[in-house]
Amino acid sequence: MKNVLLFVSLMIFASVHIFTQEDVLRPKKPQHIQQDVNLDANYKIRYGIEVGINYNLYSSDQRWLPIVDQSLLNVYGKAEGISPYFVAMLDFPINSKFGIQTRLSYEGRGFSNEYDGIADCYIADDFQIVDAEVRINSKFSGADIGFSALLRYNVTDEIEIALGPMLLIPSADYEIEETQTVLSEECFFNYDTDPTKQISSTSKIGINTRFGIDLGFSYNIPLSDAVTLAPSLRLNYMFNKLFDDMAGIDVTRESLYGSAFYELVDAKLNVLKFGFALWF
Amino acid sequence: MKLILNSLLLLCLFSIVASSQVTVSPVEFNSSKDDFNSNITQNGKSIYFTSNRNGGSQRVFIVEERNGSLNSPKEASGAINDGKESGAVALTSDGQFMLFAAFEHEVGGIGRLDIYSAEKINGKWTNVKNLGPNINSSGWDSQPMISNDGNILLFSSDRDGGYGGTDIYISFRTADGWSKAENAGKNINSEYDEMTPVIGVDNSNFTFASNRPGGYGEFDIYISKYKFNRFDKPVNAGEPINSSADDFYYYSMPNSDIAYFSSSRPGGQGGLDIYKAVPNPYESDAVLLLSGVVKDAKNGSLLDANIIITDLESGKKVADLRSDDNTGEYFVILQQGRTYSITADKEDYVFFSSRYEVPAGDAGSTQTKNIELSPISGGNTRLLVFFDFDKATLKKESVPELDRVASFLKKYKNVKILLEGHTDDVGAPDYNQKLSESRANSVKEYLVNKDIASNRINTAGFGLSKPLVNEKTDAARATNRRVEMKIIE
Repeated sequence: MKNVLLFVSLMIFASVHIFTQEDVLRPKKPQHIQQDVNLDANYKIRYGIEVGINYNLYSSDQRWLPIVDQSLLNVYGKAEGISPYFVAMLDFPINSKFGIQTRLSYEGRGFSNEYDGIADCYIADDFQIVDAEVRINSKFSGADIGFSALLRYNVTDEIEIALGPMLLIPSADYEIEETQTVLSEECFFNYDTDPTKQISSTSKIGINTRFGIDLGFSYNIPLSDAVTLAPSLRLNYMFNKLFDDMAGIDVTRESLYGSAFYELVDAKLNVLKFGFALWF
Repeated sequence: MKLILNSLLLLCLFSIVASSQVTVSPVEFNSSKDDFNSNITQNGKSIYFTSNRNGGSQRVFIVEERNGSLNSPKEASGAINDGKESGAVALTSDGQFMLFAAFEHEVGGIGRLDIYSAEKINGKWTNVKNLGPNINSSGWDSQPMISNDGNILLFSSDRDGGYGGTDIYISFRTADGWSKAENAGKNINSEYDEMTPVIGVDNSNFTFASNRPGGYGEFDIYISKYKFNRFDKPVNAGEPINSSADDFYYYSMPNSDIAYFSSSRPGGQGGLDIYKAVPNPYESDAVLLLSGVVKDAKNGSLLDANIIITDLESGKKVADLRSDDNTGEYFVILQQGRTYSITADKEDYVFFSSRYEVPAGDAGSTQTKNIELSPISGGNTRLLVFFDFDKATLKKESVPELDRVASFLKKYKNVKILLEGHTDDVGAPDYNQKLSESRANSVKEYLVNKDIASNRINTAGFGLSKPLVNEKTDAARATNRRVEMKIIE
């Protein structure tokens, strides 16, 4: 055992010695660059940070059987909104034009929609049912952890394009906050107990880990010899669903359509991003 | 129109022919290991280069010319090879002073690889000194190159704050040593690697190697000019100088159509090899090669003396060298169309000063000027002083020489001198007699004002009675107009 340890120690010492030996023709690169043997030794690894805004674009398909006209559930057909993101980046140059860029990000999520629909309204005194105009607002919020591995290409010294796969892992279930407001004067929620014009509820929804592509354009503006500012525009296009398909009964207009079978399918969340990166 | 087309065709044809005539061939002393960084000194008498032919470490090697042929390479003797890696040398044209790079040299360093200086004394490289923080950084500093006039130092460094990779840096000689090195700028440096700077003997032609895009592959040699303190935009040296492999270190031999460079192209002995390109497509401007020996004026023994050459018009020192300890030889490269002063001094000898003119037509030639130094006891020298025409008023160009006399007298406090004034044969003898006395007295007056005791300086005027040359030419008259200093005690 002692001999093994001695051997290992000698090997470590020898390898450290080799790494630090300089010659007069070409400088040795710092050790962390040398260890990446697939990369051209002439280029240095860059690291950077980026902050910016996500423009979240949610969409899904909805089906009713029978079709319920102006159902409040239409609010879940689409949504949009902005949220912040933060990224730590590494860029491993391959040659003067290409490199591999890795991004580890915190992606805040927030998107909402508002829809003016129709719901059944019971008039208590004469047991009549009339159509009530209801404004429904739904708001999704949550966060993902993102990881991208991109092939970076320098179109010019200033302009970069990066494209590659992206993985988004939800940090937790998203929260859905739903608010309904009755616009019709004669109708109320909870008409028999605590009549009110507005009700709110909060629920959670399980979010899938998603795969997609990350496409980015950025423009490098050197601030100094060591620091570069890069405004960037990116698209995160996801291939799989934000959450699993859902099915249920829509009774919001039961008086007219009966209990309608309802499906919410192919929920997708794609993101346009605008941010500023600092490369070191 | 047809004529223009024909002319263009001929021009194209000429350029193609001219390009294809350059012959590139490996030199005979390459090895199967890396051989690079060839430095030719004393007009081809010695070739210094860097190689790891004797094992893993880089060492400085020398090949010397003997009876018209080159001897076998041997490791340069002395302390320059005391680093774990030593090489990338730059020498002054006389081969007496060297800059080199070393990893973990015994004298100590500042960064990962540093630049050092060394002097050749008794045939050995010694007195190794680290060039200090104005040149060396905590990073990799290597491949020094010193201009022919010794006033510009260029080198390669990967220090922080550059344009990327290794950049070329420049420093200037000042009275206090080398100035703080500065990046050579974006005309030369890029985000890629720039290295192996070489400045021509004309102090203007400039070459370096870079792996920037747009070349022939790996490192290519680029050509630029350094003038008025700036570098021109470089151009790729093209084929056959560049190849798809590494090409470094492009040296132009002075007054010659030969260039040397280093390349790892196929067809060599292995690794990097040194190649010769003939004719050199990027020749430096023609210069005058001046050589000679320094001797004892009494017994003819060969002397190692300090020699300083100054451009009399600009007042700038253009060379600070030393004649060889063993052979007394010196070698210097001078620019055409300039007038210089050459001064030589050695302990216990009277200094020597002379005016030396290099007319434009003399460029491209090799001339010899031997220097004789008189021992102090009974010695004499001609002073390089200048007077207004027909007057005894000293010109300002005389000041460096007069200060030299003052320093000499302060160093040798027991010495007494006689200043002798002489004129040419133009004008009446009586007038010339008085003029020669007045001129000698003008020199004495300057020295007394420099705190030299009056009783240590005697003066005499000889008019036209003691000419050095008995001819009536302008050159002879210029030689005869003089002030001589003789040691009388």
